[in-house]
Amino acid sequence: MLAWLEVVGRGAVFLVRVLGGLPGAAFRGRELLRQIGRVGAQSMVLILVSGAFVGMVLGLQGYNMLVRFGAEESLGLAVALALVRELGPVVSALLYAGRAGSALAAEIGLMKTTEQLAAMGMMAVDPLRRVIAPRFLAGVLSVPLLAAMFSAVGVLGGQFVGVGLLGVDDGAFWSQMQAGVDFRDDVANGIVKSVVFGVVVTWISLFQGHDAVPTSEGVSRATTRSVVWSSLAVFGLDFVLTSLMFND
Amino acid sequence: MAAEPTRAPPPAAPEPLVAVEGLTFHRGPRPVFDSLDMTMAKGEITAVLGPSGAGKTTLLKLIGGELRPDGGRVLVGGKDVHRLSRSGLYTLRKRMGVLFQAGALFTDLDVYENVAFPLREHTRLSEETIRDVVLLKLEAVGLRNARGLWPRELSGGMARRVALARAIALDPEIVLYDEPLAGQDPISAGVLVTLIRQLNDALGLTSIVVTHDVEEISAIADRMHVLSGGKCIATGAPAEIRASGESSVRQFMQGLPDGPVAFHFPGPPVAEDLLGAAAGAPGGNPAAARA
Repeated sequence: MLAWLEVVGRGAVFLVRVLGGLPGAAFRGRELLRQIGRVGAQSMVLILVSGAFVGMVLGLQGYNMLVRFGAEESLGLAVALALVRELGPVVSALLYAGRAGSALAAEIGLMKTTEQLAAMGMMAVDPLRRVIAPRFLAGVLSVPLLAAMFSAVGVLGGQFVGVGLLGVDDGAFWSQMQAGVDFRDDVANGIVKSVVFGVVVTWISLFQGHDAVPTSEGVSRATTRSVVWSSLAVFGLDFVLTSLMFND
Repeated sequence: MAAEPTRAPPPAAPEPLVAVEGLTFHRGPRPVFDSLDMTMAKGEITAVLGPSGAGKTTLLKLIGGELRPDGGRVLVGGKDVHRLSRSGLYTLRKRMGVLFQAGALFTDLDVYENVAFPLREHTRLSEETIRDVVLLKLEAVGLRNARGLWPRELSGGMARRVALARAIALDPEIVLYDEPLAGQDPISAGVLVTLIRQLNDALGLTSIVVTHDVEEISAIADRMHVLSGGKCIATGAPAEIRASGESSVRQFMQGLPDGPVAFHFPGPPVAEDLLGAAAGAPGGNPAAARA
């Protein structure tokens, strides 16, 4: 228990120091764009393909349920609410943790193992500001964008199955969605969730890499821990945020 | 009364740039240094020798402020390294260059950008000036024409030379070398040793080299310290160290397998282990049993 508290304390100090480096990271435009490309743009294919399939499954399952009550015209609303409120932020954060978070943990862990971080420190350059902060900011900016793409493609996937394959009226699909999805309650809350997930997953991944035992096994364990802890944090925080946001 | 003949004053003792005073450091329960004292003089090449595990790399990390001692202090240019604020420590580190054991080149930057890195971070030089400085530093280590290569394309010796060019990019006063010759073939080792001497003299550096390569470093070092058992057991010019009668120093300098530094890891004798096993006792781990 004491060891666990010690890790949490180190993680908190790490986060505070990284946050202190964010203004500098924001001014390193080229490096920031490079990192957004690595953690965000390179995750897009995974996010888009997954979003399309999740939307298609939602369309299929939603139709089968709604058609029993003759409410299949509400399919667009059901798919959109499920994606915007829950599946978009949660699944995209989980995919981000698996693809980009694990890569961040491994990269930072290897930089530590090969003494690149120590070398930077000995050159009077703070690695937390120079290396970690731009990656952190890139992750925090990328996850909400990835979640938005996931939801948008998911809606199109649901429309393809519901309207294209199962015969739901196209106008009803879109109009019900337009009438039922509230920007502040649904879309904005979904964005808030994905920002929180972006902060937490990127923090956990970078911290695990930075805190890794500098051996092959240590980096391997840190990479695994980054995915496990990120996933658990996403599920736990999703429950907390959902109960705060949608508790009417 | 005849005047006393005037005598030339004795040569002034070289001014110490780095002083280690009463340094104590533990790794877990194991003492690495026990009230260690030594000095490194300005403008000299000081070699710190000792067997593996003697704490040579740890000493460099303590001098650079990467590690904090349990007791004693390290003075660099008169400043206590471990009493400095973070910004004070970083200001001091700008006066230091460090050559890490494996080079520690940034793998996402090519050779040119690795050497340019400290210049870009700490100066506002124009791109043309940075280019000139980088090419001159690479020329000094013989790798100007390798500037477009990536760290993964370099041999071990080349990687260390690039790291050396990066370490001297900001024209430091002190360069710390961590096992620069480990794992090098004779040609690479010879090149590195020559470079250390030439750069020290040409740039007016103070060099601290930790190594266990006695032969190569003896040829260029002005002064040597031998570490053993957490203390400095011998200090002097290479010839004085070679002539030392102290058994630990003799064992190290002559590479004798057994002596004060035992060949066998301490524990029960082999007969006891084997006979104990024959009598049915499971083979245990003496180190674990002691822990």
